[in-house]
Amino acid sequence: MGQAEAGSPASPSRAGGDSPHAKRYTTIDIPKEPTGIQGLDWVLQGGFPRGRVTLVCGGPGSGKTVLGMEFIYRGAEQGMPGMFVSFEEEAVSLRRNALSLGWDLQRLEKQNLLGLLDPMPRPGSVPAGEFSLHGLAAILAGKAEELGVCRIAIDAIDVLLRLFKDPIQEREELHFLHAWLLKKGMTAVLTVKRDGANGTDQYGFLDYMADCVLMLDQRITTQISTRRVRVLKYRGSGFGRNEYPFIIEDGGINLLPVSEAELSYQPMGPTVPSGLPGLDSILNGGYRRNSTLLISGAPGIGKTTIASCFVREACSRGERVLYINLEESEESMVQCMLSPGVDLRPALEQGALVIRTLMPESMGAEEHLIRILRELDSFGASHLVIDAVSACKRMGSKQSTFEFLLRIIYGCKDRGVTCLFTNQETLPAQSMEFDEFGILSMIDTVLVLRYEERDGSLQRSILAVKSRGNRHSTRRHHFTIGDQGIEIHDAGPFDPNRPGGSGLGESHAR
Amino acid sequence: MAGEEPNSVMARENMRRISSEHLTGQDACIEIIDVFQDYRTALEYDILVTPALLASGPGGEVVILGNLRETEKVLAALRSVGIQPRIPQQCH
Repeated sequence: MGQAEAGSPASPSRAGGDSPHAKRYTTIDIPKEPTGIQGLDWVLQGGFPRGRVTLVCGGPGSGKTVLGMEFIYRGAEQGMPGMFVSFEEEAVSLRRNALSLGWDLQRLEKQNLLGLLDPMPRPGSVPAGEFSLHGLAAILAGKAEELGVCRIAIDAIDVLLRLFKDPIQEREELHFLHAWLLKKGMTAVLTVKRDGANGTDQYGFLDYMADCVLMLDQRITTQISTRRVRVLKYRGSGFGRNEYPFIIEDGGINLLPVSEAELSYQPMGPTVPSGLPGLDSILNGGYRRNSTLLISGAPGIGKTTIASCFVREACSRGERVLYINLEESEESMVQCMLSPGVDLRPALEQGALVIRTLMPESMGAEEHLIRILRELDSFGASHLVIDAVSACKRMGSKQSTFEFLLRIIYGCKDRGVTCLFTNQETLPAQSMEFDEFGILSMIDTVLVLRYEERDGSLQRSILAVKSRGNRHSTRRHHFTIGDQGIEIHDAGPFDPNRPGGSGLGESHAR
Repeated sequence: MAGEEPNSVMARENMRRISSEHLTGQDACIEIIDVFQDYRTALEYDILVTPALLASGPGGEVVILGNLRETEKVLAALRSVGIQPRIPQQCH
């Protein structure tokens, strides 16, 4: 997935190289320190302001400490020494928590690229006169000079400020600290515990002091918990204005801004066979690489069977397919597919096919998204199947499901992955109204399967409602499912010598 | 102490005064550390604010923060760790 963009204006293109879209940002005047946090540098258009203070606020458990730590860790990994100061957690516990994210802090400490400080304000100190934060400044200065530090994260600054009973003095001390950080030219991240929803503005003045303010939030919507980050302010720079969901996973924080992928579509590729000769006829050769397909129909009509034929065909070409099943287990599906004669076992054994069973309710849509895209990348799949997208509505709200599907589509188009969705229709299909998610316009090929009563018996039919980039048959074709698989009738054999038969036929604007 | 910063200067003077008025005749050892010169000791003792007086007596340790202007508080804190200040006789 993306790499840390080092110092240059962030490009939204993940496919590498300079994207012309990077120029749509206003000129970035102020120098920035890339955070190295997946997706965040894009939102911040480069990173945190260099030599200035960034404030990260959020409630307990919202991820502030991880963010501050990752900033320092990523910098240290790139050879830029940094310091992490915590007033809340001991160094031992910080190292242990970092290890659970896969970060080896001790190694960097030994190389003098990272300093962990855990000065705890002593409980039970007796105030007897005025005092100030020079002690802290001295410690930070001493350690910073020793390591040659230019990045510093101060975690839980509110704990430190509790030493000062007088809010006015709190402010003064913070100004002192701020002035000191600026003088030393350090890029600083301060985290502060703040419950955004209730707006306890005890530390409201911090917002004015910092050049950049991030708000982290962890909330539960429709019983599923999601984390979000929002940039409240960024002096001297543009920034992504929305709330961005993120997850904390092995390796650190991972954001996935929606608009990131939309700008770098890979165009549709050549036509490849689907594994169903009748379907190839209907679609004038097959389906196009990098396109998105949807197969919609009532339960039991043959959607998974058709999808499995696609899969078998792609795997037989030596390609890799990631199959996300939201309805049944791998064993059950493989077993079921044996009866119409589709054997997926060879593909599984060769490692060309990976089937993942997901419970939509198990986590939020954003987490599902990130995990799927990550697996797509690590597995190197050229095809993604989601069976069935109708089950996705159990991932949370309708809005988050819509965004999930949209981002899956973007993510696939961005990577040149062909995407196949199946959709289970629950109502008797009398009309074409199945686009409850509103993503139909994004899909290139839509195949609708119907039951029809004909000559006193129930028959199955398939209709290509649309197929962008292909000339396609507009008739209903009847099909049957037998022991040898799906047979589509009266489609006629695919003739490559037919005019426009190579599949380049009618291309629609895209 | 933090160099010649005003509160630290005041603390030094107050400490001198308190020790001459209340701590004479006691086995007291006063060590002055300038955090700007020696940050490691500051770190070792978790000294975040200055001036700070770390008093160890028979009854334990206590940290007294500030320029020591409030003498009564200082004496009370010292008492809490078993350091008994001598109250000078007031001559009328």
